[in-house]
Amino acid sequence: MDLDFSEEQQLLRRTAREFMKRHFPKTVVRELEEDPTGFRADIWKQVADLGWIGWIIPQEYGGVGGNVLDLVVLCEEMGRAIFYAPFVSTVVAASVILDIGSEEQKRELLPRISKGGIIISLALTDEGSIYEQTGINLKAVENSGKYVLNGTSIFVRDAKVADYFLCAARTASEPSSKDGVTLFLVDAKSPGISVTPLATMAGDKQSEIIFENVPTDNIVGEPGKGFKAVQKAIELAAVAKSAEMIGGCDEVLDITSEYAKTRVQFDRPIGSFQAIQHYLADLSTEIAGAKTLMYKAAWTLNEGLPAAKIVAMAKAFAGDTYRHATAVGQQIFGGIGYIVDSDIQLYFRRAKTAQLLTGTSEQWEEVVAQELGL
Amino acid sequence: MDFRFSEEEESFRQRVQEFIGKNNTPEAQADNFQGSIRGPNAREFVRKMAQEGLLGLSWPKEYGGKDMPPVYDGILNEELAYAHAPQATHGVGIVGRTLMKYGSDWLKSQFLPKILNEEIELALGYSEPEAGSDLASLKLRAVRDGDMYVLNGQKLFCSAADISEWVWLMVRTDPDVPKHKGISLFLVDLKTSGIKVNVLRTICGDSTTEVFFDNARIPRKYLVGEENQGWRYAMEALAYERHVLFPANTAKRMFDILVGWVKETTLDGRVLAEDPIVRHKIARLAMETEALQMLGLRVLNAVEKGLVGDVEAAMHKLYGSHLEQRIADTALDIMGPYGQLKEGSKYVYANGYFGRRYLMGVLRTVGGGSSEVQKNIIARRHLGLPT
Repeated sequence: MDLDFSEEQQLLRRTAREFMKRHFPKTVVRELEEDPTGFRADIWKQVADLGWIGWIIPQEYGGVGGNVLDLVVLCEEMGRAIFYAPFVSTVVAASVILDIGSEEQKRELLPRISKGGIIISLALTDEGSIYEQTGINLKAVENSGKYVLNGTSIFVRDAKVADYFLCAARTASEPSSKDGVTLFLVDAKSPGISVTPLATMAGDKQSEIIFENVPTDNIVGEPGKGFKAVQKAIELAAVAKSAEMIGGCDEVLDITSEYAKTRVQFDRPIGSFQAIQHYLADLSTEIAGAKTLMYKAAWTLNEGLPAAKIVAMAKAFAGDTYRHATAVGQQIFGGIGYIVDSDIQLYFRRAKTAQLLTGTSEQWEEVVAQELGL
Repeated sequence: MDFRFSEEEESFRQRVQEFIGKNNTPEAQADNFQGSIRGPNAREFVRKMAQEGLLGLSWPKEYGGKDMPPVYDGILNEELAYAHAPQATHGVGIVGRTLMKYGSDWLKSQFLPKILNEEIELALGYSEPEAGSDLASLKLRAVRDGDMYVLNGQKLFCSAADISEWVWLMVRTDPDVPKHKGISLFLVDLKTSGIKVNVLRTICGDSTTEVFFDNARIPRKYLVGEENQGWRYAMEALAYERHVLFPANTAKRMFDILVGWVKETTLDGRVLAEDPIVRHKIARLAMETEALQMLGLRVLNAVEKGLVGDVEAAMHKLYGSHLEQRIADTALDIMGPYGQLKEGSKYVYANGYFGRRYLMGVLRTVGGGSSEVQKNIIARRHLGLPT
């Protein structure tokens, strides 16, 4: 048993933190909230040049050949800086292609993804549902080898800048069944696609995508057998999001502790009051637990062991901890934290969004209950 | 990073499990309170541990130990905790370690072998009526008289002093310096004339004691280390105690018993495990129990790397003690009115286990350093917040 990161991973973390400080300060965060695309092509290019987009793609497909634990190091640092880019969706989509895509798709797409040349959004949640695993109701009808997609996906991030959407659609059987789900990589410029932004409290770029007779033949994996791949994709996405949230927690704890040390009331720093100290002590304990849970989930995925339960625990715990951390942060910053110029509110708004996406805590709790045999 | 234990560690775990399976009789379980020895059958269990070579695993060879990495202590304690079995804590932990580091050669030769063989049991004499969380304000006075010290005063919550031979005693040797700097540690024979032990009953049917000292005369050779350095020695040992006395597997066992119970129990016409509210509550506890295991691994990881692990231990103790309370409380909530029934009642569930744990739980967040003390440690040492 060893809970420490390797020298290389620590170096990766330092590099990532330095990069974020230099290229993704809060001025950029605020700028991207106001920007309709939320995207900076120059920063995306730099991230690609550092190899991060292709970090877990094997070298033979143009990637770095790193592992999931490396990935969570990157995601933690991104979360700390509240970095915004279609990073996780593209990485998760790449892992699906790697997992079940054809050799041709791998050769064609993965090297370009690694170089930052292809951006992919995940369209796995459909109108009228909140849980990706059973809420797939986008319809795909086959017509002589080609499919036609109809339906509405929602909460799709970065749809305006995506080159492809990774969609899960029903090609057969009843709604909410696990069978008959097929994965498609749909060209974002296909006819019949209309993208409408959804305004969110985090100011991130989520959209509704309406598919109206959208033709596609770009199936990933076997027709009708996509559900397992969706589950795996969501597991990786959940761990990556958890890592982002933990990074956010660490930064919130740092800036809030720092504020408590310098903010003077009643002639003393407020951090000398036990009321404040105990909030933060409880919080740092929760964060320590959430962080190691997330590491264990990443490690379990990396080892190829059954991961449903630990991933569920990691995501729900990280989500709840992030929400709690930012709420405590708001409380300690007091009135000034309520003003948009403060940084704590940037985290507070994102924490709620992160908790509600990629499976809510309640949904993951149900997974845990099932895994316990209840 | 690797969450797996090594093959040797796993085979040691199996050996411990086999030992527990053979020796953890109902009598031994009944004679211990949350791992602390309270009666002869629990002592017998620990003696068998000694014979099996399970005591002092990480002690240096020169003191009869096995020089094994501390992770083995961790595995042993977690397995004992999971079985709710008696543990050897004070002797091989706080007392033994402090003696090795600071005790005279004579004290070491007198006590270390007896501790390793469980020939003696040691009570901890720390708290006093007016020295709880503010432990350093303790007043039990020791006055030097030639080769002797004369003790006057009182200890409180001196658990197991009624069944122990010795007490590891914190006393005031200098009242005229700042409070932390006038404290010394002694090993005191509980049969010494002038010492009286009074048993106090607790809400969960367990007991603790108060100990009175009336001109009790203690030979100077029983002073541990230097005079007035006792606070420093004790604080060093406390981080260790928190890890050993509060293993994560106590909560894990409680949780597993709860899961088993909701699967097999029908109330209001349906199996509890099918009730969405019950599922939600259990799933929450499952996550928290796993998070506690993670906090436990963080302590082990720190100790294995040669770090003190005081902050990790504080987090672990803080979180675990409250989680144990939440598990017991949740179990009683699910049981409804049946939850209030005591062991032996006609309608009691799980034989009153969770009711007992609910009452025991009160001690977990106040004993061994209250939650507030743990939070102060985390806030100041980990976050650097000002005093």
